[in-house]
Amino acid sequence: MADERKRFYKGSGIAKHREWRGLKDTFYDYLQWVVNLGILAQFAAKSPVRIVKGLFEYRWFGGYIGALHMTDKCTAGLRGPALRTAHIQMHAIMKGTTGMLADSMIGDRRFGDTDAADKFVMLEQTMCPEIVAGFPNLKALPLEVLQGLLGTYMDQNLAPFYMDIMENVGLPADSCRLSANAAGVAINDDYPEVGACLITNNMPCDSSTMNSQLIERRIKIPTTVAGIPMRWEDESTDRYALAQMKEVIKFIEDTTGEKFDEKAFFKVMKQHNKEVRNEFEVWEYAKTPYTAFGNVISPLFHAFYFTFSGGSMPYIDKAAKKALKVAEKAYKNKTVSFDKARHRMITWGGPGCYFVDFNTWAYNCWGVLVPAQMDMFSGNVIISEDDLDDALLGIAHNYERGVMRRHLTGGYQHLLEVWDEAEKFNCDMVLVYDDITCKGAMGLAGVVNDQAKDKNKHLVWVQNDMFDHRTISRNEMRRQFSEYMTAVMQEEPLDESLVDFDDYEGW
Amino acid sequence: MKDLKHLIYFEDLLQEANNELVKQAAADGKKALGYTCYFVPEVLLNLGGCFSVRLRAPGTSNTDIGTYYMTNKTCPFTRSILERSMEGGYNFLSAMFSSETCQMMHRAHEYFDIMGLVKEQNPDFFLSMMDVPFVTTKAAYEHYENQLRKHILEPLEKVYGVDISDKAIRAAIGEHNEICDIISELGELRKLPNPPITSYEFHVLQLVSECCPQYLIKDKLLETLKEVRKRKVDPKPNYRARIVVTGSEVDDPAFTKLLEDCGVYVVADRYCYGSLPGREQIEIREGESALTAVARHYLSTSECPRFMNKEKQVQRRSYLKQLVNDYDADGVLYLQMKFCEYWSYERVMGVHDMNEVEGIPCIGVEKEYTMASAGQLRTRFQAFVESIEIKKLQGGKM
Repeated sequence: MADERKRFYKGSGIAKHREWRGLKDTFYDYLQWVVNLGILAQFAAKSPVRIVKGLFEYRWFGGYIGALHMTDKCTAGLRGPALRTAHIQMHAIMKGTTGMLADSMIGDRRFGDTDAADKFVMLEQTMCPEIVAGFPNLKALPLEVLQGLLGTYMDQNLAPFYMDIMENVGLPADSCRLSANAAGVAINDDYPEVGACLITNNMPCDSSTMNSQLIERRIKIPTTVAGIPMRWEDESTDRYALAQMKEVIKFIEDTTGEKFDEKAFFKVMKQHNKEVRNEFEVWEYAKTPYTAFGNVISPLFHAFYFTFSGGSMPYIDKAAKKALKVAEKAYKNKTVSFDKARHRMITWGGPGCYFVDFNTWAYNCWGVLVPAQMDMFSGNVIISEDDLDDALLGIAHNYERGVMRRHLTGGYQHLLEVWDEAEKFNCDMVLVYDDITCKGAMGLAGVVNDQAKDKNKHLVWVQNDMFDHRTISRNEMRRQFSEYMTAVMQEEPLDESLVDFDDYEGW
Repeated sequence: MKDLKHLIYFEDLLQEANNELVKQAAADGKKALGYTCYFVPEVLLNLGGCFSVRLRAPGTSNTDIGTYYMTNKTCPFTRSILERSMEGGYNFLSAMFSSETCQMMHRAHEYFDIMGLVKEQNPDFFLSMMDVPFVTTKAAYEHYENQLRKHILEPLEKVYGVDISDKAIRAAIGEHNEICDIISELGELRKLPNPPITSYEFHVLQLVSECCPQYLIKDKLLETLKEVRKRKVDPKPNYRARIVVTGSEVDDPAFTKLLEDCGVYVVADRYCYGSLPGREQIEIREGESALTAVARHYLSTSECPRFMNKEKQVQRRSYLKQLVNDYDADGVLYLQMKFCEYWSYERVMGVHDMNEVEGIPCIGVEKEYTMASAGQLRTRFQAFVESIEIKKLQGGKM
């Protein structure tokens, strides 16, 4: 029996040495690690002084030191084609993330006035950048996600400081942690002072509607609201959705002096559609036993390009096609990349972001492969490439079906799609995350239970507190899942050392 | 003061959703239309042949079923509504109108569909859910009006043959305005230094006007207004502080009673189920359709924190400040139903703004739906009243 935890220092996630994956895969993995180092070096070279200043200015920035560690934990146990697709996708994620971080610092007025500051349109929450596509001289930059979600993937200690700030000013601890973190960053004045304007929005839920209002009070640039309809399957909401998109474009024109360029816009939409079509291909492989896509990085790649690229990052399509090529070869050769898999499980609901590698752990410890998770199904709207109104409506639809919004709004049936998706991806298990502050999902908990019983499905709930590992630790999440695996699934762990271990102090 | 003649009668009407008058209206062949949120215009549910019932769950002792379906981490009000609906407490309804304006509320209402509630009693029963904008732009008003047409009027016409013509809506507005006149006049009396109506009594009257068929309750409300006009007040008012209450849903007059017991006179009820907003006249402008007037009225008067545009954010604060001035209030109480995301942030920002920016004494309180935590609330309210009194003694300094 494997003894993977031996490789780590006690109480942490720090490995004593790299994972041995056999000669070929270890060498490949090492090379990719060097490539990641290269991406980080390129990042630092973009504006060394401002980036170093940023590291000292912003508390959240420190979390990104764990980037390489995050890559390692998300690729743990992967071999062959699965390892290759994971690294290809991860390089694109790193390239994109470091690019946005560098842009944030380069345009940050805190480090001195710069014309670069006005070249950015800030998008709050998970609002994707398609709406800025018609402005080739401008770039979309996310507000909140860099300072919360992405950072928490790397360092579980990033968010608690900001959430505590909100609790100190009176926000209940039961409020959504993602929104609380973002609001705490605003209260602490920890957002870079960058951008010509900010688009706030109601993505995805009640708490984000409200934290946007608080954040807006602390941001010093012109702001407007993109109020996206909630009942998005109802065609009668389309006219209003389109009007909202047009108002946002007019606002960008008014605040930046730039003019909307249709040609440039459609060029990005074409790229957006390529990204979506690539995703559909990924799903087809993921449904098979010969998939090279699984566990955590593939869904992460989807969430990344949905939120940050939207057709604006050409290397996303390149990386996706490269990974698809690997997957195609594996499928043709009937290569079982996930050879430890005993069960296939779809995960649904809001995950514990401080345990980004939960799927990887479930695979290595229990032989449970996750070929699909909820966020993969968000966005994925094919946008018109020649009709402006249709395209703008397509962008609105993409927002309406965005991360978390796709399943938590517009009707209860969307969250309950889990059973159909589980069927499509040939999953015999369903994991629903009980994100203890996510009211939209919790409002249907009983129905999910009832349906699991009616459909005779293996359903496991795993509680988490999204950004706050202090409430429900990673080990507690592991304990809940392991208990189900032994008590209900009657399984023995593949690696006993991974069942119960302490990594509370780790990144 | 002498007790109001019909107070006990009004209190009895609030003991259950399917009260005596609701039963009478149903026996008259009228359709009972349920709703909970202000974004579902009450006036449109009072078209000919129909009557509105703003749903409450009085006497809730536990929410076991609601908690099973929605967990114990969601709004207790919506869980109570779900509990009551599962128990069959709303089986008298002909339709339920809702909006996806609050995650937990609309989830609770979705169970009417998921579980097929009420359908057994009334196969024609339906749930209709609409979309409400987050801003107040021109497009937003148009959108809201379209939603009202598509999700309220058209289903009513289709299923129950209700007359939804402009003329019918104008008639409903006329009747609605009569109720608003009565409640508003009663509410205005709270501005007096020694009001002839207690805040508890007002709360009861306001709730009765929302939870009973208006055509059946109007006479008694009018009679009560006449009684209050002539009511002899006590020589000295028996409150220690005049407070504006704002926040999420409050549908239990016992809560106002608790405040009164702590020496508070609630001068203004700016919360869900309150009269501010809610009982303002609907004005139909020249050349405007009745439906347009309804849409404009409800979107512009709503003080819901889900409105994100800056104008509305500013308006919410200035409206509160205006209430404090108009009603000569000593302070503001921000209430938040436990687990309510909207009011949790609004409370944080509002309490800060009132205390630090406007210099108006203000506290923020989280509450359960039932009065289970009355003891803790009492301590908070008493302390707040004392702090206001100390401020007064110190000539305005805290």
